[in-house]
Amino acid sequence: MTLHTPTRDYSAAAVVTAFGVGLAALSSTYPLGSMLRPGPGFFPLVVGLLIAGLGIVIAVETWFGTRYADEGPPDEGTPAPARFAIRPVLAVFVGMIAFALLVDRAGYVAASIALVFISALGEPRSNWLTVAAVAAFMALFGVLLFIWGLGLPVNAFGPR
Amino acid sequence: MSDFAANIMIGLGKALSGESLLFCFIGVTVGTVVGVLPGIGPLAAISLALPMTYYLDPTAALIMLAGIFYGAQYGGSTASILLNLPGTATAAITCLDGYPLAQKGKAPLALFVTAINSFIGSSFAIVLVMGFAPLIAELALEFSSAEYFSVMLLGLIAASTMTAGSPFKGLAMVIFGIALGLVGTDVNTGMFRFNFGILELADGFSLVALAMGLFGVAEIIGNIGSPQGTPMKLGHIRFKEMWPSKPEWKKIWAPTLRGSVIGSFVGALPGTGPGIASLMAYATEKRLSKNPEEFGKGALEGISAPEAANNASVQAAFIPTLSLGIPGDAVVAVLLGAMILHGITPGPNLINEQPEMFWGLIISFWVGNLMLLVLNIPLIGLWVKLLSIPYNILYPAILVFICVGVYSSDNNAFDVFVVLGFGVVGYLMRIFDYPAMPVLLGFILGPLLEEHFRRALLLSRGHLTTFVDRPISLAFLLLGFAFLAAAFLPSLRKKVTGD
Repeated sequence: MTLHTPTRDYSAAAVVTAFGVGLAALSSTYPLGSMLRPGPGFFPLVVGLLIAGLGIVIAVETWFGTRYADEGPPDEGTPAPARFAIRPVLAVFVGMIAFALLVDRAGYVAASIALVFISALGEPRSNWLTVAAVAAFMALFGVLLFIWGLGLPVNAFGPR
Repeated sequence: MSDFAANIMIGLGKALSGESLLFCFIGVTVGTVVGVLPGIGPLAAISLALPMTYYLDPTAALIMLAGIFYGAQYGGSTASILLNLPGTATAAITCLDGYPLAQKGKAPLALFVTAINSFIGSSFAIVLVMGFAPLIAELALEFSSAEYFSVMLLGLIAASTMTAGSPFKGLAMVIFGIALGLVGTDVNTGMFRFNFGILELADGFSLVALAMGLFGVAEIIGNIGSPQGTPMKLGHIRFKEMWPSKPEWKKIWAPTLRGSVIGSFVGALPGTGPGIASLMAYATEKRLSKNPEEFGKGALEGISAPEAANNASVQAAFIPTLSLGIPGDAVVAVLLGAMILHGITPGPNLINEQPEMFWGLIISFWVGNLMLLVLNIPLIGLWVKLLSIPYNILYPAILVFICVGVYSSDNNAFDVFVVLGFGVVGYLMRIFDYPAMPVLLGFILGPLLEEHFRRALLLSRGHLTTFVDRPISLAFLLLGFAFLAAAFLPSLRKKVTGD
């Protein structure tokens, strides 16, 4: 169950409102059109204003301290983590960037090994021998499955 | 009636072909695996498998992808019962009574009951799909843009307000999804919108990238470092321990039926999915029960109703999907995206134009559910073993799958960055308690919503009244309004969700 602090809830609501205002502002650079023939800017403007309005409603709701039953599951995903942890975010972030940069230049094997090693840094209890085994397995298994088996247009080694 | 029999034969012919059987089996097996494993759900798995189905026959592709979806509902309860940690979020309710049952040494019984009830719930809903989807499709042939706009709006409102959290957050996220769907080329004028000069965004964000970011990567980031339970040791499971005794059968049959009905109804409603179905079924049983104090301490009714409900809702979600082309829930929305990628236009014409696909898919649901029964009762020990794989071995491997899947779906490294971006956004949304499911639904329905809105206005020469002048459209709008009113009146809402 997530920890609710008013500051956090207000700042999230502020982000929502800011997003809506930004969207509405951007959409006014596209033609609005008329009621008969709404232009490309009309729908985005409405959408932006609605989001901005809902951000304000969420803030008001926080102000009144409305509580909802916490037992309800979302339709997908495990329950929310309680607080922001920078380490997993960074590890996954850098790992995936490495993959994206390497896959076209050095091929699948290098990219997947880099991704496994870097993303494993997100977990402080990782054992490097195990990580190496996972990396080797994914490199081999991936070549067999993705490249030979499914014929995906990825190179095992070297640039595309 | 002979028509019906002929259709069934067409379906049997398609579903029992070697290719269909093979892909159905792959689908339900993958579904069970991702269902059992906490930390990866059906949505991420379907998005992953999607690029790999490009070269398949569209029906076989759909059979497999659908199999992942309903297969995951079976697997999800295993971790709930043995670990007190839901394998898929929709099985969260099953923890409440499933884990206490396991603590009492009745894990085999609980596993059996959830599997058999999943089967009953599914079967119930499949019959409804067979009966209702063609009927609704016939009605929908009369629909014009105004009706489509209204029914989609209803679906979006229902999806965002029928959650356990704040309905306003749900609404805001659905509209956020619509906003993301705006990126790309405007269909009516060919103008680029919100692509910020990035060429790769001319076609908008890729559905696969968005879904994998919000659900795959976000979930992995959230799970890294969180404590992992050790599954209860089961040893060798004997069939005798699984089979319910006579009084136990007596206890579960009524909740199972009620769960199936509730699940089918909730699932058939566009936008609402298995999560809310199992929640409502559980609440209903608790209210009807003569001894509600047993709930949460290992009541069999507490696992039978929600398990029947979530499976029923998954199958019933195909009613609006296959008859109207409007997804019954966000996972089916990805399936809808898959159909479009395969060049099939979902909508009321699908059943008449592609009877082989429609009936083949439906019959494959039966086949798949039968396979799942075998996979989940005699082979349960295998899945329990899966639970003991440590997460720190699993997640780097899942990340590789995600990256390869996204990269190969468009052969474009840019999409990996999109996944990454949405992964972080999704993680932040989780922390601040904003639901991610509505975003996906808004993203998929948004462009359709805009198109039908503009076309309806064009047809009516600019009169907004077209949406209320047409009776069917008005009915959808009024129903949507009722959901909104319920959101604004918390006391009424409480009665609906039963808290």
